[in-house]
Amino acid sequence: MLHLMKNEWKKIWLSVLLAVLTVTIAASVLTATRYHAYSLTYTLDAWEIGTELFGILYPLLVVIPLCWNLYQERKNNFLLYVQPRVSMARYLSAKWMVYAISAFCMIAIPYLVSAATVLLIQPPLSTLNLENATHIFKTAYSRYPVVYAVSLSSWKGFLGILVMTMGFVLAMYCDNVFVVLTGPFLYATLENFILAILGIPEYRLVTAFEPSCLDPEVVSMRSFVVGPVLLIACTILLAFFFSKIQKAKVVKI
Amino acid sequence: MIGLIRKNITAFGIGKVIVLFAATLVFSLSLRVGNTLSFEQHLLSALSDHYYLIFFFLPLILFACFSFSEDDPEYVILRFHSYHRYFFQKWLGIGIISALIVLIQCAAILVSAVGLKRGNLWALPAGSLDTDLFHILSQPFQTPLTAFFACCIYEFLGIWLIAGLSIWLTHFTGHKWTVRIMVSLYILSILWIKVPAFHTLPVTGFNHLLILHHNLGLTNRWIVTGITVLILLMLIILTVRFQVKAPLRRKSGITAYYRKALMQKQNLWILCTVVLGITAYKGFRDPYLTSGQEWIYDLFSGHGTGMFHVLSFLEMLIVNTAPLYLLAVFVEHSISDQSIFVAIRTRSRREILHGILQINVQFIALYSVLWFLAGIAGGLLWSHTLDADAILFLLGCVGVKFLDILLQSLVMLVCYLLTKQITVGFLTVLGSNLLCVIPQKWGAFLPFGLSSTVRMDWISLDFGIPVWSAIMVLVVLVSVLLVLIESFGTKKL
Repeated sequence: MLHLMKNEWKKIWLSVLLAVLTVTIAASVLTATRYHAYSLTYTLDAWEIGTELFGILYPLLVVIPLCWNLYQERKNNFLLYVQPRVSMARYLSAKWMVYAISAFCMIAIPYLVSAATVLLIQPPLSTLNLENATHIFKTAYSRYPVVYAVSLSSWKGFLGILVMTMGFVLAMYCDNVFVVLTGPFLYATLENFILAILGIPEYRLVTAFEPSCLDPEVVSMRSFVVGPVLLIACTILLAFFFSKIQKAKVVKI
Repeated sequence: MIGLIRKNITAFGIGKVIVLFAATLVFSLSLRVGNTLSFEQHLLSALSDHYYLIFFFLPLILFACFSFSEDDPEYVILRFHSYHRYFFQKWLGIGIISALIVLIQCAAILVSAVGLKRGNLWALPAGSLDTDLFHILSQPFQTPLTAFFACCIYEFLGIWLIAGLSIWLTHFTGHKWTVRIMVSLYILSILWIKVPAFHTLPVTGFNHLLILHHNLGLTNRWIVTGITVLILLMLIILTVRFQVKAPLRRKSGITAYYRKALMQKQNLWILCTVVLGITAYKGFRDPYLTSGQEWIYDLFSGHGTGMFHVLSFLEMLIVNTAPLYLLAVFVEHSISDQSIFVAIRTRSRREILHGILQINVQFIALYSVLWFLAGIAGGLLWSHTLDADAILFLLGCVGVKFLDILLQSLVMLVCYLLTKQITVGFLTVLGSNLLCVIPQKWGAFLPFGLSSTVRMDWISLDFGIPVWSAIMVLVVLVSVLLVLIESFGTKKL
């Protein structure tokens, strides 16, 4: 398995590295510059302001640098040559694990580096709203920013893996590369909009990803569960639809 | 010709004659209940009731037209020496069916009027519901009986014209499109009597061709109808006489191939769902809107510049990129993975490029029409007044929306031509939409999402950029992109 994973890593390391570097630089620059127009109460406020846009774009960030590879291997019949040598389940499991680690890194590293940037810069804080300020996990957020940043970045990395899995399922069965690469983004956008207009924004995937986007009183433990569970359910349904109803094959002969 | 007339009368059928007579009789008799009109007044009142004419008589006429609108077999047409001779003689012959329909209708109304006292005067009994109608008709006509005969003749000519139009449309566009166009014009007639705002618009529906008093009482209305009829007659006569090729009937060619791939039922359903979903969301979110303009402004509000509001941004993104997403899927599926046989069958790459551009424009135009219909339907449901100003505002918003989405689709296409990756094009469009967060003054002129009403000074709120500047920005950029695609597109495709 480890050997298979090494092989897979060789195929995607460049795109993963480029993605990590680009997103890290973008997140750090935005974190270091965007806070100027705001009055900050806590140090990590600048981090939240700077990485605000990634809450919408992260489904693209974790899918595009990875899932093109599986799609390409299906399209150029590479999997046909793999099949006699390794069982397809084993091969796809190894591939998924490498993709999962990469997706985790592509989200967690930029968030951690941008958090480190803001902790190094130490932006000027205002004490005007200090007494009325509310925030989810306020104690950790205000007193232990490193713990908060590491925990939240890891959690976001985990959600990145879930979103990448949806792209992985699409890449396994779908023949349109555009749908493969943008499908999870479309899901996240529609889910975000529909749950918001239905009046339950606390259960959106984006709330689980960025819990500070809503009033802390509205956000509960369920906010961290419903969005990801819905995503997993949709991914399973998608896999079921393609494999059992549409009878699509991963390897086409 | 006599044989043709006989054949068309048979196609019209005895069943429709019976239904017409019976329904007109029942309707006319129902008018007598609780009414004390004289014989002549009753005749005019029954013949001019636009609810009866639009909701029963007009559908029956259209139904009858469909039964004989198809061209006869070629061996029949050959006996007339030329198609235009066949067409005009068929149309002339249908005049007899039109006269027959009017006579049957008059007979039913006359039967219903038996026993009423005579009185060929305009003065109505107190409390009569026909006061407005009689007031309008009393201006050009001296007596109700004269008005009745005039209405009959007008109705006869109207039926004749509608029948001619249906034969012409069927010849040039085929049965399916004829039904679609005729039903659309019929819906326009219903809207005209239901939405007062339509009264001031220079559009002509079937109601104007059939109902005389719909052309009276409104300033310049009869001139609009007259000009429309003249244009229509000239168009029919010239196109038939000079055998103009039917553009809509052409089912072959690369555009038709792409149309079939893009305008699938599931794609149209997706567009309808997006339009319906956003309209319902807007309507139920602000159910207390007062004016039609306010409703239209809210419907197309979109997202402003120099700020970031997640829900508004997502709404703008969904509205603007729904057709673009489907276009991108289509490009990836039908153009990137295009079979070599398609390329061989087309004359040149330029033809393929023009096919893509044409289908692109048609698809976005269709989406804009859906938004126009949603604006009207939502206005009727959720606003108190949907006046002419609101409809003109709606037309403006839909037009700018069309330009905005067209521009974004062309940007996507340029990226595709340069990189051969439609995903890059889509991501470019997505990134360009995100530029609205830039807190700079020039950000207001960014063309992506410019169709949002909050970005333009539509109703003099001193908020947003002037409308004409926005339109100029979009038109100039669309033109530039079209020139670019035309100049290098064929080489890159």
